[in-house]
Amino acid sequence: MLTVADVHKKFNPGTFNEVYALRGISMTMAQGEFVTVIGTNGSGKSTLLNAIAGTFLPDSGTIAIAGKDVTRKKDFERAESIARVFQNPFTGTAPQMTIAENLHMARLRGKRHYPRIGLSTKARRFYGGEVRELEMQLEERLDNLIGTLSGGQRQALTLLMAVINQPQVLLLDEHTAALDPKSAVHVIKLTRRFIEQGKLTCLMITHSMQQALDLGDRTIMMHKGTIIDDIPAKEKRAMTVGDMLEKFAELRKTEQLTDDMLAQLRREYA
Amino acid sequence: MELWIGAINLGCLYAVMTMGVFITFRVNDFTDITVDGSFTAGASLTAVLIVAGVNPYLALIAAFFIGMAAGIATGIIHTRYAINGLLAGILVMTGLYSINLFIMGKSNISLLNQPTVFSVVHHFNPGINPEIWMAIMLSVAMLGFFLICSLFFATDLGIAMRVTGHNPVMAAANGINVARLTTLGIGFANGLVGVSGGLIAQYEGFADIGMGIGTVLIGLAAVIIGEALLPGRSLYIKVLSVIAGSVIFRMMIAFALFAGMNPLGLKLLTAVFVLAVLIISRKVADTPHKAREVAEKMARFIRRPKVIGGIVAVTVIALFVVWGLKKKEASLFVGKHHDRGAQSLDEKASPTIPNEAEDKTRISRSPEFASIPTAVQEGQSTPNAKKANGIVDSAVTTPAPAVSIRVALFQFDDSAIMDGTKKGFMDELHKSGAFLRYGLTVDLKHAQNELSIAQSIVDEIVADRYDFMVTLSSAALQVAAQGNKTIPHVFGVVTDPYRAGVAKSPTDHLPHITGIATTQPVESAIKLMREIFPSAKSIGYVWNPAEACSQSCSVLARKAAKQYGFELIEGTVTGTSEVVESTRMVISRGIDLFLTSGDRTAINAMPAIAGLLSAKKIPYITNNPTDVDNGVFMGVGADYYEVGEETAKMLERLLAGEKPADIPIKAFVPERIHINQALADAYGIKIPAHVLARSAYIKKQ
Ligand SMILES: Nc1ncnc2c1ncn2[C@@H]1O[C@H](COP(=O)(O)OP(=O)(O)OP(=O)(O)O)[C@@H](O)[C@H]1O
Ligand SMILES: [Mg+2]
Repeated sequence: MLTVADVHKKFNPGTFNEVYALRGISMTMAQGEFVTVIGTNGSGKSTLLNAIAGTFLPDSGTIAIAGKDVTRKKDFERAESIARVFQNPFTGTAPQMTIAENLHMARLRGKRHYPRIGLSTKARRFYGGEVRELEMQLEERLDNLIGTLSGGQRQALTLLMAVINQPQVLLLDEHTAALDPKSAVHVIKLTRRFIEQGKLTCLMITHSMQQALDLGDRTIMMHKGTIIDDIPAKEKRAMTVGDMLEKFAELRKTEQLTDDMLAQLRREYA
Repeated sequence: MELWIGAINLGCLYAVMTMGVFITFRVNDFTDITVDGSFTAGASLTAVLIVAGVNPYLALIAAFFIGMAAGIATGIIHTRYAINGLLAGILVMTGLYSINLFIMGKSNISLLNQPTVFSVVHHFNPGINPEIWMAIMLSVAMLGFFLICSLFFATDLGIAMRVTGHNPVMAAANGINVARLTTLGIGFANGLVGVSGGLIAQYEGFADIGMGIGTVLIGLAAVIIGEALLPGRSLYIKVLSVIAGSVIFRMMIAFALFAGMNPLGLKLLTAVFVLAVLIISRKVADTPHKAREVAEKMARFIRRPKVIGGIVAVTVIALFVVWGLKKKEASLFVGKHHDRGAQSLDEKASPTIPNEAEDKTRISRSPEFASIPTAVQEGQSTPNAKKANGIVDSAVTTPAPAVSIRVALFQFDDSAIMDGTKKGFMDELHKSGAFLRYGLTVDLKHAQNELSIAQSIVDEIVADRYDFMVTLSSAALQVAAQGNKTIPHVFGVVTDPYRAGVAKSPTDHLPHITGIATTQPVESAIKLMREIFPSAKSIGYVWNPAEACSQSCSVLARKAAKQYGFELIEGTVTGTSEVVESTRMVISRGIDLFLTSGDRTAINAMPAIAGLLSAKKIPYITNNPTDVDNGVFMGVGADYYEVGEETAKMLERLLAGEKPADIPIKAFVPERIHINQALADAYGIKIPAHVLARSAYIKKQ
């Protein structure tokens, strides 16, 4: 479903601030596959997601969705097949607009926006039903502004907006990192349910090793702009958090990780 | 009453523009300066089309499209080429200046006696007061406008446009082409601004190249007032708040004028007001919780019956006080200013009495006081003081006349010419004894060079039932001719009343308007140049095509130059900053003489021009005699003090009972020649004796 082939990206090339963020990333995801991504800070996880979503164009390499090359397409053109949830709950919704209006925009993803009243009573009834799935009593508040909701509610809505149109690829970038523990658990529950129900192809970045183990079929590990490990489903199922840290320690021996990095990983993931 | 109705009507017409500003500012989150240009573009295209015989409604549609084109240009520059939005707006606005001039072919087009959308409205008037009828029709139109806008914002396209402004990242993630929608939004907004410009041009009866200046600020102020007034977050409330804000803003201006506030401060007040609200709203956004608490507390406090009663009472009292002050000023006028006049003469023994220029603000309150010192001013010696005291005494002892006549003296902007004319005007009324005979009150109204203020002032003059109106300058005449159809009106300092649309010939003019036409004696100047310089070949001429008066002069100059065998070498400029370069260019083409005639831009840069010319020993001739004191070789022009006197004399004929319809427009050019002999000596030029003999003043040093 998603193929990334030898993608390179340098930010601010040729300047003092040059960052070589992606150094020849290649990966593929089958239809309906759910992959989690872990890695050190600044290893290029978000950059990879942005490259797939089309936030910027890669310097070289190709990206294809469902067999179609989208490397040169702009982000809004790819939105037809890609949906995403950001880390910041404020990024995914328009605060000064109502819940219904936000959902309506998500519903129109990849379609043209004509000057006609599309947000009809019928459409609203449909959105009401969808919102009920979130189990957050938001169905009575369709006309409330998003800005009046809590971060957890907003992130749950963003997730609903991302899946409302059955995207071909769903991208999640640490979408529970900014939430309180209770909301985070709830949003993860919803994530799992939506992906299972819709049989969605999903790439999810996480900072929680437990999440990486619990969720998804495969786990990818990134470091310094490259994929340093790809743990297949079978191996992963048998793993514990301890095993995973063990794996990092091994990688260290192959000189791919320094002591600093290991310490950092322990701090963050343990 | 009419003042307020007039303000409502203007508010409705400007509401269309305000909606445009709202779309860019609040929906697209983009501060768009293009509107200053697209407002004028809409106005100019409408005017040109109507004059060409196009249906005024179709002209408005054309205005929408030209505004939209301007907005789209800004949008593309901003989104495609990633140029700062403010800069993109400035670029397009600046470009539009030339385009607008090109569309109009001149800087000002009159629509007087042309069919407009409003003439259609008036056609169906069942017989009520036209302003009230207009208000009713405009209210209906605004209801429609409200519905269309609200519905639009609720459509898929409207929602997408709002998302684009509120959260572009989310918009892109949901497949919205942010660049295209932003461009479309700015285009749509400027289309509305263009329509508003077209409406104002039709309402005011003319389009002018400068009429769009400050439109952004007016729009922003209206948007902000609307938001403060109707803070609801629902879409319908927001659309309503835009229209309400526009109307309330016009009411505020009308109130400021009504309360006697000097319009001099109006622009500053608007700017400070917008700034204050912007800062407050930023603060509120930063601390939403605290702000909400405070707001709720305030709301609870205000809702108490006692407080409501108090506010109503204070408002009513304030209104009465203002009203009372105004009344008193009019009726007690004679006694009051005599007291003050006598007092200041006694105290200061006369020589240091403030002259008219310093007394600009006071002149609007007590014109006679201001005019008495002018009798003393010239000599400033004891005999004159005595004379002035005599005048004051006689004024005090003369019983107040039974009748009391009020005259509104309306000027559009400031210049030395205005000052001279006003002085001549007041002195003449004083000399002739009109002040005492008719118990005359002259109130000065000053538009601060801003069209929207001028409109409100004219509305106020009409609403206040002045007995006569006097306008100084073409712009003042045009605004007044459109807004006032009843009060007898005398104009002065107008180069070409026929082009301003108030008359076809000296005798065939609007029945309630007559006045003085003073053309620049361009031909006389060029004729004299030929007499003094028999072998000169070419004349340099730098001018700004955006100035109406300068345009007429340039036509005359070309004609006269040809007639007297000169080649006119022209350089055109759009502002004072270009004058020096243009003059250098003209000089480089080997001119023998240089002429400036009625062009404010060149006049403002006169010292620079004179400096360049004197370095090359090229004689500089202008159409203002007093310019010889500023390094000019010869000044041939009208004496505006006398123009003021002549305007006053025409007013006196009306005071004596004549009808304006029976008085032909008078061409009056009190020609004066001033010679700078010192410069002539320095250049080694011999001026013929017969020219010197005709000169009113010869500068020796
Ligand atoms: N738009 C950009 N311009 C310049 N540098 C960037 C940009 N985006 C990312 N980078 C840099 O690229 C590198 C990779 O960043 P990225 O955000 O992909 O890391 P990450 O793996 O998501 O890290 P984190 O775990 O902190 O989220 C970092 O050094 C970052 O500073
Ligand atoms: Mg990241």
